[in-house]
Amino acid sequence: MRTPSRESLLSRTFVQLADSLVDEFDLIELLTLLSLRCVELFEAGAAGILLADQRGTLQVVAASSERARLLELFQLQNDQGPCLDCYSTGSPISVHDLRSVERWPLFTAEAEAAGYRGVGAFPLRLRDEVIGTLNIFMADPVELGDQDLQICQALADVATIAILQHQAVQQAENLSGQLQQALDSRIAIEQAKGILAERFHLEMTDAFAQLRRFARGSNQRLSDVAAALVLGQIVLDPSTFGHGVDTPPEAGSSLEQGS
Amino acid sequence: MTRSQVANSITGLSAAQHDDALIAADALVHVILAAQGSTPASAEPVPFRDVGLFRAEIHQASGMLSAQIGCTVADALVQLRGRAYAVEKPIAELARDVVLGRTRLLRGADNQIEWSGEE
Repeated sequence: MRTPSRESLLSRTFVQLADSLVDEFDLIELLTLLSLRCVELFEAGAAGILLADQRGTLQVVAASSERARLLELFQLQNDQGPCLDCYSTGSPISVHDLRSVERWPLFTAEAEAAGYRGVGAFPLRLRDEVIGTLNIFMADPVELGDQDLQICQALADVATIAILQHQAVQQAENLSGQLQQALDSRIAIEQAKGILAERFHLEMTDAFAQLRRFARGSNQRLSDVAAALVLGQIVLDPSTFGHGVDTPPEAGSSLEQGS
Repeated sequence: MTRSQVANSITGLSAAQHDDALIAADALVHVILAAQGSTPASAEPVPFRDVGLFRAEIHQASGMLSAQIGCTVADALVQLRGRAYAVEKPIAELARDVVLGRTRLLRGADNQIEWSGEE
């Protein structure tokens, strides 16, 4: 199942992530990229990064797909699921087939309805604290090997570094404030998605793709484009929408038909 | 200035106290809501996470509403909150209706803002 090119994809991923950690990088874009690379590296159905907000609730900060159903699946884990367990214990969790475990009945049912059978949750660790989780969903029951688990944890560690190195985030005086700041940068993006969806009759997934595409095409940060759109300083129109940016076709999307 | 610094300069609380205050405020909201027992009989108990304003759909809905009537997203959020209160619906649920196009804002002939669509 694994191709030899995986190693090169892995090294390219780490180089790309390290390169992105320069001045004024866009946090959401970097974490979105990291989620997309997780999907490619592990042939996963979806991946996402969750952070604890100031109230201790896990919130999605970036994901490989913006499908509402996937975002719900992340959010749902505040009640039960591998992310909650990973967040509270600080230990990684990997379940190759959700049907073989009974501890999260609600989560398991929802995950399966969304087309996922396997799941992994890896802690975003800062010294002795856990600040969030990296969550990976597999469409089929696939056992992640020791090496895979190490790579997942390394990617989670890169995510932690990116979040805590971010300029806006560093202005907050304590850790929970920093994490909240990271989550706040997500709000303007959601608002901008809504504006584009309404104006051009797009699905939220497409609205996000267009926003990202425009930011890349015009060499601007995703958060800056979102903020300008929300403030009415720019008006994107379909002619400015580019094509061919490296958003891979969404794995597992065919499983969602009829849902 | 970050949001928590603004809050702290107003309240005089330390960052840690500010966090504790947020958690205490959430807990109180639950106690008050439970004591009132005023949720519609058919409604499910409101999950803890639905009380806040951080759900993605609420911000998506604010963006959509602002484009519908040409107002700021902040004003659109006020409209959303007002409507949720008026029709006794959790704001996250109303936001979902907006995102799914079940309900929307219109500007009438006299520039009045109206809600339309099913509830």
